[in-house]
Amino acid sequence: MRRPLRRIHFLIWLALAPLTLAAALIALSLAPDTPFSELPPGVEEVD
Amino acid sequence: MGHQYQAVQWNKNKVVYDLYMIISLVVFIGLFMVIGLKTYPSGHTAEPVGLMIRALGSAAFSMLTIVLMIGPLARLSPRFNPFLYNRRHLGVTTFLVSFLHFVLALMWYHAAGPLNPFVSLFVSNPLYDSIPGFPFEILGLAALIVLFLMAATSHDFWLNNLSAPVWKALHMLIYPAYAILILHITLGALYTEKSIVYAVLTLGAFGLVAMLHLTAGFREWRTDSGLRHLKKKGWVEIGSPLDIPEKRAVIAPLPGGERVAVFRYDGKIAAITNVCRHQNGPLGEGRVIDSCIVCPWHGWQYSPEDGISPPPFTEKVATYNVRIENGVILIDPKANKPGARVEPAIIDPVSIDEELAS
Repeated sequence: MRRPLRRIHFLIWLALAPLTLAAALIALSLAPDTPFSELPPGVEEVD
Repeated sequence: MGHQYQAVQWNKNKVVYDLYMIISLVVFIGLFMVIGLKTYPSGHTAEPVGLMIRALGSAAFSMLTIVLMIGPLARLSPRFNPFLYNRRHLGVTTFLVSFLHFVLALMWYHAAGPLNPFVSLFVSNPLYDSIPGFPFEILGLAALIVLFLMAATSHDFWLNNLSAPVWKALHMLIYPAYAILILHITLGALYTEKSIVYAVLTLGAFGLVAMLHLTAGFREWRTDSGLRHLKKKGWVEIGSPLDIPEKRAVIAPLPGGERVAVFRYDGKIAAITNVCRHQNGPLGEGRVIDSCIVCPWHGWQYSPEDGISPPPFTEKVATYNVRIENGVILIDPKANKPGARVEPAIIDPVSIDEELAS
């Protein structure tokens, strides 16, 4: 009997790793008021 | 092994392992609560329930990360096989901790309003078309459903009934579930954190798991690419019997994608499939103990000469015809029926004497 899922397993991680990391980083960059986001609205006005 | 149904097959190793697991879990949650309450921002009232929800979520995520690291680590080094042997209890406990996290969050954030908590979970935040406002709870629920499926079908009863390939395919759902969980944490907990440390820890854990799986997968790919050339009459050359340590095996890829485990024991050579009937474990990484090949993952046993498990068990794996010509092992790549008896090849006693003398 073969281990039929061996290559599928590898390919799943090959696709999943960059997609998940990219999605998480994009989501973090859109987060309001975190170290990843741009300056919150209003800060420039104060300056 | 599949002889008689038992709810949990306890042994001393599993009890000790579970004890360590429960103690670690209690210490983790305890430390999380104590540190969380002590470092709560001044001017705010600490929310023990909110902290407990986070403690349970963090514990479940950490446990799932460990669960997902064990498989590739065991593929990369047999030193991690004992963790693989005990992985199932860790997986089921991960589901239970996740479920507590879910119930507590549902009750704390959705039970106070006029709506049913389950209805509230789906409708209280309608920003399904927004990334930063997306209802991250739904992602957590999706991952929890997968964890439930894993836990509910974790017993060998389901493995036997669904067959190993179907069961394995079902359990591979845990990988997308882990990715969904990363997004659940990102849009939930990480959105309220001011420190970058939590994001680095979360994404770092995911990166580590992904790297381990890809490294192990790449190594498997390389093994398959080392396909032996077919020799005369279609037999496959494996190498010298003396290159195989006593009571151990070499694993060789065969035409068609199969792998054969070629064992040396008691001056003989025998070959069976490399795939264990239980969970597709690599039999060729096991050892011959008491005249039986023992799978390194969960200890299932097979006779090297007919591939049959010792009584009272009834599992069978495929055997391969083997012979030795001019000091070289040759394997017929056409597998015999599971349980078919084959004569092992006898290693030239003179060559064994010379090996011992050197």
